[in-house]
Formats: sequence, structure tokens, C-alpha cells
Amino acid sequence: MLDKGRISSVQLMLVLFMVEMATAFLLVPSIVAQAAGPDSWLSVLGVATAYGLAVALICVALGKRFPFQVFTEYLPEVLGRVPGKLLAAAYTVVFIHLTSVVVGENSIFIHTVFLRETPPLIINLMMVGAAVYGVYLGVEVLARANEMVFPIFILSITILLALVAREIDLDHLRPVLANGPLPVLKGAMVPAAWRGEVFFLLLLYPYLNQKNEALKSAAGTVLMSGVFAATVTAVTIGVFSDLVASRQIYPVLNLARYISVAGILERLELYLIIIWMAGVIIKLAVFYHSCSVMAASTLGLKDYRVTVFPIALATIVISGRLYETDYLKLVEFLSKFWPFYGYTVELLIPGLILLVAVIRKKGGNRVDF
Amino acid sequence: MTFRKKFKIKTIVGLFLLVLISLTMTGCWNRREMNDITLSTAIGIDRVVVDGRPIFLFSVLAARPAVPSGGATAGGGGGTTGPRVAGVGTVISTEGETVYDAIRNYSMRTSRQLFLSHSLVIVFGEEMAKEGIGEVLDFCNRQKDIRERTWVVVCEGLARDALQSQPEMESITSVELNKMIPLNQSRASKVAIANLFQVTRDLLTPGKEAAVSNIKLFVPPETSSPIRPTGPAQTPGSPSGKGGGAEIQAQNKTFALSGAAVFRGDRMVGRMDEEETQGMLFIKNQADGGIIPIAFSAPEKNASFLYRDVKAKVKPVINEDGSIMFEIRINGKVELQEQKNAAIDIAEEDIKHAEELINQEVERRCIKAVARSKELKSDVFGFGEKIYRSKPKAWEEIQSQWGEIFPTVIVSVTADFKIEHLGLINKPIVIQ
Amino acid sequence: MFKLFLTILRRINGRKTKIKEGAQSHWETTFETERRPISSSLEKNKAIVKEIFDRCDDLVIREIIISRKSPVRALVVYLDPMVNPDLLQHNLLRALLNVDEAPSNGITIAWLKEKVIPAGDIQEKKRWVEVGNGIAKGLVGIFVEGQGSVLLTSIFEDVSRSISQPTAEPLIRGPADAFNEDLRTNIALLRKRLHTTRLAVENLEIGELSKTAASLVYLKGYVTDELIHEVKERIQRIKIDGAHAGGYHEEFLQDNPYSLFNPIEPTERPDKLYGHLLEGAVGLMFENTPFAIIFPVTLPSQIQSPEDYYNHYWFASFIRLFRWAGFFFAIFLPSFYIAITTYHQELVPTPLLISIIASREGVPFPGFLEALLMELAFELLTEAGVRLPRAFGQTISIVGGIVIGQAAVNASLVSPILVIVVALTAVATYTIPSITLSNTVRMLRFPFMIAAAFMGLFGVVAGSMLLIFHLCSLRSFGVPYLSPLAPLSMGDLKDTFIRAPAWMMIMRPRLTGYVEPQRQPRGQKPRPPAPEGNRSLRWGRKK
Repeated sequence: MLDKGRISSVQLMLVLFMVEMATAFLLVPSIVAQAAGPDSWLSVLGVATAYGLAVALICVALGKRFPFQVFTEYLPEVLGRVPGKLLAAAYTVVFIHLTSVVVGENSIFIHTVFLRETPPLIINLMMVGAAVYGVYLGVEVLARANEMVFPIFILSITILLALVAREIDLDHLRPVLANGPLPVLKGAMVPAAWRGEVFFLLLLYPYLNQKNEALKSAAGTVLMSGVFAATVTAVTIGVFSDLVASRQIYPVLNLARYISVAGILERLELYLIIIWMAGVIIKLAVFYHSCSVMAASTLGLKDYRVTVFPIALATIVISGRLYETDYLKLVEFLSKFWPFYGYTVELLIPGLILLVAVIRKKGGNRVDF
Repeated sequence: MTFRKKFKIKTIVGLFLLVLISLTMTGCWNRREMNDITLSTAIGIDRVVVDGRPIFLFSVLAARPAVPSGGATAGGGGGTTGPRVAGVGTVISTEGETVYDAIRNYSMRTSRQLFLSHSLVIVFGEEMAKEGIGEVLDFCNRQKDIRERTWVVVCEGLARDALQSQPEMESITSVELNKMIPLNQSRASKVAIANLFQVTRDLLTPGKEAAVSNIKLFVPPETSSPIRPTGPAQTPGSPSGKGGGAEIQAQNKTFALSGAAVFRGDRMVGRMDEEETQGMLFIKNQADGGIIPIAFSAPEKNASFLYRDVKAKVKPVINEDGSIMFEIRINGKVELQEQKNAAIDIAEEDIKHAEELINQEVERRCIKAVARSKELKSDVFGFGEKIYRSKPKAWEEIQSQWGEIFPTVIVSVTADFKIEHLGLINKPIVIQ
Repeated sequence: MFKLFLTILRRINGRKTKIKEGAQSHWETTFETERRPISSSLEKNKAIVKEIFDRCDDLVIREIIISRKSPVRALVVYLDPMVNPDLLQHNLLRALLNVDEAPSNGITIAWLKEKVIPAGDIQEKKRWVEVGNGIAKGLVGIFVEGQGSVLLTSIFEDVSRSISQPTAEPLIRGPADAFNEDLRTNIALLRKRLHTTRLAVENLEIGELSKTAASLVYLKGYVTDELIHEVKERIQRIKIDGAHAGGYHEEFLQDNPYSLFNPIEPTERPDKLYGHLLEGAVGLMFENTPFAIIFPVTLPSQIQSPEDYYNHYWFASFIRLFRWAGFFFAIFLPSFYIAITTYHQELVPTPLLISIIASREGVPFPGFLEALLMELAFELLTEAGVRLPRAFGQTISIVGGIVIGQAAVNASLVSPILVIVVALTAVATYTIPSITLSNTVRMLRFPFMIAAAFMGLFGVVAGSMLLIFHLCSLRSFGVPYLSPLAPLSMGDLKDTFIRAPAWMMIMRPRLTGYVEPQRQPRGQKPRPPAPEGNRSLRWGRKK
């Protein structure tokens, strides 16, 4: 284990929640509404949650077999040295790419909505700088910082939703299942990939101090974020109707702007900046931590901190080359490639690894929960 | 060894931070000082023809901050400054090929960057509204400054003139308008009410058309009004403001809300008067409070009731033969506010009778509104949407022809208002 | 899942720490030794006294021989800071040492009590519990060879005369005594509050030349031995020539030496130290320093004031919430103002924005410079106010209030709204009870202002995240600095943002007080007297 930190099961749950929801709550409602219309909340609540639970099960099963190693550390053990190392390297690259996507999501949001004239590079440098500082302090500090951020995140969103609740027109949520279940399944594709990010458990499992509560944490995360995301989506569509919401890029931002209570509580997108940034910094920090631990373990380094800095630079460059401020490219990735990409990385490969481990009898022998 | 390693990491982090700080130090990209912005409080958009070419005329009602009064300190002798209140608004208008072109042309006219985020109202000139507001709505939704809650209104004549009209209570027209629209909804419910989001949604929703507030301009008939121009040109006893409008400047008019402007698609197709608008608001569940006058066993209206808690239910019915019917039920409570000559006593039958009259009046208004909207071929009530929400399968078949079907639908309105109480006196004041 | 929620619920209830069935609180358990009767052997008694007052370096055991004719060995035992040395020497010891005659049956306690000791208050005790507590209370114990009982007599040192009022941390309802420069007095002040044999006072020495005396105080059995060991080791590692007063040693003790935050809390209030000792903290007092330092402390505890526990809990919670708000205002208000007025004008309600614009009209400086100048002027005023002799205090307030505030506004150098912001920030800064924390906050404001000036709210939030990361990484002698918040322990939240009623404070803070988790028995909520039967208090978990 490259990081000596210890996190509790509740901390793990909150960290995974943040990893799933920090960017999803803002981007998902619009993407889902395009496919699932008024039934978007069903996609988010039902189908995506089921997928998330499947990922969680596999990850916990793998974790139980190798309780003191991260994913890339036991890959060579399961697959044999060369293929294992190769897959570990591939995973590291995939993670770096995923991190760049998050960096791109962030810079596009901040750039198009708040700081129009600021170069995205500067925005990225600031965010990544903050996240990297967290990574240097270790997973324990990340988990604790997340414990500070999580209540702010949840409270702010709850307040926003509560304040805008009186604008909800229940008519907007009808008709239910007008075109059968197919649009609901289609709509669930993108959010499912997001919810599958619970697979960061593979990288966080070794730090957990109560290993037997891993499944509870992971399942708790999936269910909690399911309820959370479904609430956000339902309120967004209830207020704006799927027709408007699917045309907006950040309907939750518009939601925050739409709040007006007695003419005093207005213009609350401030909350949104705060929670978005706090959430993304935590999310980025967890991503960078995982990336650097993977890279260090693949390369056989003793200290994961060495790799943080190059990885951070790489992600900034990659996101700059790939997405810059080009929302179209990003949304193309998010809605077309990301689901399949996500399913492969989150569910398929870990599932296969588990299968191989069971067949080759590697790791701990218990798969029960 | 470990020391050197740690040292290295720290150096790298330090260098990184240094680069970060030096990069950000050159920044302040988005900084705009308060002294460098023009605070737009209302936007007016017109379509005008200049040199045979149609262009956009974009007007902004800017809050012009007053320069601190230097005289106060000199004269007062004390250390206090004079009150520094925001000055009245200034209307500045620019022209452009497109809306945003016109906005950016501001830099050719004024020294301060235009800041649209605090626009309270978007006023469409009549020509603009008739030509179609789709482009402007797209623009307003697309860029981040104009907010979803901005009121959308249509005025008679040029929007620029509407912005130049004088408010009667507040310091700026836009603030007055911003307060008037919701006030009317709760006090009289005679004006359509729609903000930017609602208009956008109505345009996007199949089977629903937009109706927005309409404002008219006039010279206040009251001779004591400060807005009314005084001076040699104006004779004190001039009978009506509207008559002498020719030589009166535009900014000496004031404005009032009046009914609704009805759209079909993104084009304004006509207006509704107050009664029709109220009927529409009843059906759309937006009538929060207002007055229903009735003629209680008399030829002229002699009693008025305040209504509250109005709930309307619209039920689409598709008959076997394919004809479409809407059953509208409106429930509410009313209170007696005034009456003449002791017409209504608290006797049971009188109250029954009064309720009947109220129901008739409400139904009449609703039917009038429906008739008007059928005439304009604009489904402002969202009847089509009701079918879509409750019978999606049926809607799919008729969606494409809804424009033709709507004028033929049968609408039945049933009002059921209950008199709740009669005010502070229980016996009528009978003139002996 | 269900079990998980149950766990969370349990945490909220503060019952996370398991309490063994039938376990008893410390004040009901007496030491094994204390249950024994007093032995007649002087040597044995001496050993037991030493055992009871283990690690109490202020305990004095004076061996004397009474009577010249038939010499009997005796012990005079007392806690030095509590006893008046003059009276002890001139009256008690002289009387004991000068005994010429002796009764025929040898010297007995009864005889000493009746004939020899010139004191009004004198008691004969036969049990160690009474003797131990008596001595801890400041009585002088006299043991005589061959006697199975002890004489306790009072020669209290009157410390109250030399005690001044707290100047740095004044309170309304709290006790008005403060530590002074005399270490012995300071320990006496503490011992006056804690009449227990558990209060350990260990003497140390710092400074190669100055040889400054220092005392480590803590409650035995409330603190882990590792912590004490670590503290002592850190103190002994300090090699300096002279130990200046106060903060100088703190810098040798900090866990994160480069941090702006100082997780060591100095206090001049004995009641504050006392409160922290009861929660499992350790105090360190120095000769010539009117401040004791407390550690480990957490940021939430630095926002608590002793007064919270003297006022009614509703009011205390109300005020504490304000103090938290003050803490955030003090850090973020100026930067927030800068960010909002120069980057995010769209977030201000329209009427407010119009009045801000009106007030800014004619101000020549950019918003950031304006705010920075005013904040700097305020810091200068504060510093001048501290340095100036009291007679000039008026001048500073006039110069600060009228010249800088009023005149600058009149001259359109700053906007009136900014003056309000700066004033509010200043007021908020001084609502923080801890001196070190309020100093840190004063400094922190400036980086945030710079961040706001360059990136608006974006900079402020990024800076806050750095701050949160940093705070989460801080430790104070092994205890996370943000402790009830991160790592979260729900049970301790009852004394973080609010203060729960005293009868709800069943448990000590989880991380500092885990050695002795339960503070008091459950079920002490005031209620009408039970009609009959069992009125005893329950310890441990309800069945």
C-alpha cells in the first residue's frame, strides 16, 4: 500500500458519493431529459442504480480477495506478470483520460458561465492546484475534507431545491412511460456510467479500516446518489419541463437562477459555484490520488506523490487539447462514447478479473458478503 | 536520501505554486468595476426599417448613478454628505443587424460596459412582436446575463418609447413595471403574466401558445400629475391627455398594463381585453384575486365580489366521433365587497341567487376568452398540452393538425363559486 | 444498509463508545490503595502517600522527629502551593519540633491534637480516601509512627489577594481570576478548583541559562500515557538558552510548524484550563508567564468560550452560532465583497446593487485596492491601540472613527458600504474567543482578498478548499484539528455549533476524552421527584 491513510466506512461512502455526484448533478438532468423526457427521474432512480449496485458488488468482491492491495497491484498476480502490468498501465492511462474529462467539464462550466474572459488554462491550474495539494496530504485528509464539503454540498442543493419547489408543475412529469420503457433505458445509459464510478472502490478499498462494511458503504453510496440524482432531475423537469430542460446545458444552474422567494432570496447561483467547485476539487483530488497510486504501483515506485505532479500536468494538457472550451466535443464524448467506455472500464473488466481470480484461486478465498 | 527526496518534492510543489501564482497575477480578466458598468434595468427591442433595411433597435433603460452633490458639503458646513441616490433612468438605444450586434454597438455610444443581468423587463415593440420574437428569445436564453425571471411584455408602438415613459411611483419605469405585474395578479388578475422562462416553455410546448402582458402609453389625465408637462404649451384645463398627445414628448407619457398580447408560434396575432384576459387567467389557474361585479336584480352592475382560492380543472374528452371537448370546472370562494341599495340580504335565497350570477359572470368571461382565442387561432390555455399530458397516444395523431382542430373544439365551462362571507356588516346599509 | 443507518443513529446519540455493563465512573471507583486502612507503619504510609499523589511534584513530605525525650518519627504532608509557608514553619513545624514533654503512653495522635498543634481546624481521619482528598484540598496531613490515623489541619495559603482580573479574555458571568506570573500561585488556582488526588503536577525545566520552571498539569487517568510521554519528550528536546514568556515554547511543540494555525491554546483563565483538563487535555504552565498553554485543542474548541457553560444553554447556543458566523465573516467578508462587486454583480439583488453603485460613484480606486487600504488602516489602528498608553486610547478611537472613517468617505476615497464591511469584519474578528485563532484569522483575510481580486468567487472557493485541506491535515498532539467535524463524530456535535444542556453532556469528546469516555451518569434531566422507590442514577446503557 502506497498510502498509509485509514478511512472509515462512512468516510468511504461520502467520498464515493462525491466522486459520483460532484459533476453528475449538473450535467446529467439535461442529457437524460433528451432521451427519457418526463420519465428521466425513473431512468436515474431505477436503471442507473441497478447498474451501480452491480458494479459495487463486483468491486467489493474483488476487494475482499485482495484486502490490502489496490487494483493495479494485484492485476499481475491475477493475470500473470506481463499481461497484468499491461492492463495496469492501460488502466492508468484510462484514469488519466477520465481525469482530463473532469478537468474539461469544469473549465467549460466555469468558463461559459462565470468567468467568460478568463483563459480555461488558468481555471484548470487553480482547480488542479487545489486538488493536487489535497493529494499530497494523503487519502485520509481527502476523506476528512470531504466530510466538511459533503454537508455543504447536500445542504446547498437541498436549499436550492426546496426554494424552487413551489414552481414545480406536476403536469411536467406526465405522461409517465408514454413510449414504453425503451426511452427510460436509453436515458439511463449516461447516468449509469456516472453511477458506475463507484468502482473507485477498487482503489480505495485497502484504506478502509472496517473492511466488512465495504459493501454497505458502496451500496449506500449508490442508493443515496440514486435518490439524490433522481430528486434533482425530478425537480428540474418539474419546474422547467423536459422540453426546456433538455435544451439547457446546465438546467440546475437555471434552476438556481430561477429561485425567487419574496423578492429577497434571488440570484442564488452563488451556491452553485460553491458546491460545484468544492465538489469538483474533491472529485479531482480523488481521481488524482487514484491515478498516481496506480501509476506508482505499475511502475513499482515507493512513493506515489512523485507521480502526482506529472499526471496533473498531463491532464491539464490533455483536457486543453481535447476539450478546451469546446462543449460540443465534450458532450459528444459524454453522451456517445462515455457510456460504453464506462461500462467496459467499470463493470466488464473488473468482472472478468474477478472471474479469473476465482478460477485461478488467487487472493483470499471468500466471495461471500 | 529521504531528505533529498522530500526536498525535491517540496521544490516541485513550490515551483508549481509559483508558476500558478505568477500566472494568476497577470489575470483579473473578468474584472469589471462598479464604475465601469451600465446597469440595464429594462430592455426594449424593436424592429425598424432604416434605409429600406429592417434592423433591430435595441434600447436599454439604464440606472444612471447620480453624481454626489458637491453643494451639500459646501452649504451645510457639517461633515455629512448629501444623500447619494441612484438617478433616474436613461434610455440609450442602438441599432444593429442582430440583437447582439446592437448590444455590442453600445461601445460606440457609451463609456461603460453594458450589464444586462439586472434587466427586470424585456419590452417588445408591436412590430417586433408581430414579426416574431423567436430569435430574441433564443438570444435571451442562450447567453447567461438575462435571467429567466425577467418579465416579458409587449407594448403598443415602439419599445423605446415605452421605456421612456415616466413611472408614477418608483424612480425607474422598470422597477415600477416589475412590481406592477405581480401586484396585478394578486389584486385584479386582469393582465397576462409571463416571464422569459414561461414564454420559452409555452413556445416549446406543443399545444400551448404564449400570452404576455400588454402595456399601453398615455398622458396622465390628472392635471396635477408631475409627469404631465406643464408650461406655456399646455393649457391647464385640457380635457384629455390622449387628445393633446401630438405635441407632447414621448417621455411625458406614463404607462399602464392592459390585457394580454396573444401569440401564435412566436408571432403576436392579437390582443385580449381585460375581461378576456381574466377569463384566460381563470382557466390557466393564474387568477389569484380580483373582483367580479354582478347585476343583482337590476339592469346595471350593482354589487361586487372579491374572489379567492380559484382552482380550475381542465378535462379533455375525446368523443367517439373524434370531436374533442374540454370540460372546465372552476371552483372558488368569493366575498361581498360592495353593493347598492340593499340588493343582497343575507337571506339564503339571495345568496344562492348571487352565487348563480357570479358563476354566470365567470363563465361568460371564460367563454369570451375561449372565443377570442379561437378567433386568433391561438391555444393560449394549453388545451393541446392537456391532451398530450393525459392522452399521449391520442395527441400523437392530432398534434400536426392541432392548429386547425383548436378552433373547432367544444369548451364547456362550469363555475362553482361559494360566497364565503359578507364583510364587516351583516345588514345592508339601507338609505331611508 | 439498515444496520448502517442504525450506526449513524447511534453516533447521533453519542453511544458509539461501548460502556461495559455495570461499569462505574471514576469518582465511584477508588484506588485499591485508598480503600485500605491507614497503616501504623510510617514507611508504609509514606509509600502509599507517594502512590496516591503519584506524579504530583508539588507534594511535600517533610520527615520530622517529635519530642526530644522519646523521639517519634512523623511526617508532615502537604501540597506546597496550597499551604502558607510562613504559618507552616512558624506555627505548625515549630510546635511539632519543639515538643519537650511526652505523655507516658507515648505520643499519640489524640495527644498531638489536644496539646500541641496550634490550629483551629483540626480533624483526625482514619481512611485514605479522606486523607487523600483532604490533602488535595490543601490541608496539611500529619502522620505519626505507630499511629493508625492522620491529623488534618488547615493552613491555607490566601492566594486570592495577589490575583488580578483577566484582561485578555474577560467574561461577564465567569469567575474573575486570572493566572499571574507566579507559577506556585497558578497551580494553587488550579488546585483550588480540582480537589482531587488525580490532578498531576509535574515539574520540568526549560532553558539552559534561564532554568525556567514549568509545570505540566493533567488529570491522571484521563490522558493516555503516550500523550504525556510525547509531551515530556518534546519539552525535553527544547534546547534554548532562555525561555521567553508564553508563545516562544509553543513553536517548539507544534505538530505542523509552518502552519498559520496554532493548535496550542494559551489562556489566562484558570477555569478554561480546568474545563479542558476535564475533557482530557494537558496544560503547561511556566514561571513568569501569566498564560497557561493547553493542548491538544481543536478549532471548534477555540470558538467555544468558557462563558458558554456559565450561561443558559439556549442563549449559549445562540451566541455560539453567532461566533461561528463571526469566524466566517472575519475570514470571508472582505474577499466576498471584493468578489461580488468586481466580478459577480449579477448576484447582488438589484436595489442593493443600485445603492452600491451609487456609493461607489466617484471613488477613484478599484474595489480591491479600496478594500485593502481600509483593512490595512484597520490593522494599523488595532496595533496602535495595543501599543498606546491607555491615556491615548481616546485619540485612537477619534482618529480611527472620524478621520479615517468619516473623512475618507466624505472625500470619496472609499465608499460608505465598504466602511460597513470593514467595520463588520473587525467586529467579527473579535468575537472569536481564542487569541491565537483570532490572530490567524486576521492574517488569513488578506490572501483571500487577493484571491478574490484575481479570480472572484472562484478564487475564494479555491482558496477555501486549500484551507479545508490544510485544516484537515493539521493535528494537535495526535488529535485532528477539526476533530468533531472531520473526522466527524456526531455525538460531539452537541457541543460544537450549539451547546446542549449540561445534563445531556454524557460523554466526553471522543478523541480527547476517550480514556475515560463517560462524563456523568445518564438520566439527570430535571424532573419532579419520583414518588417512591428507586431514585438512584443509572450508569451505562439503558436497558
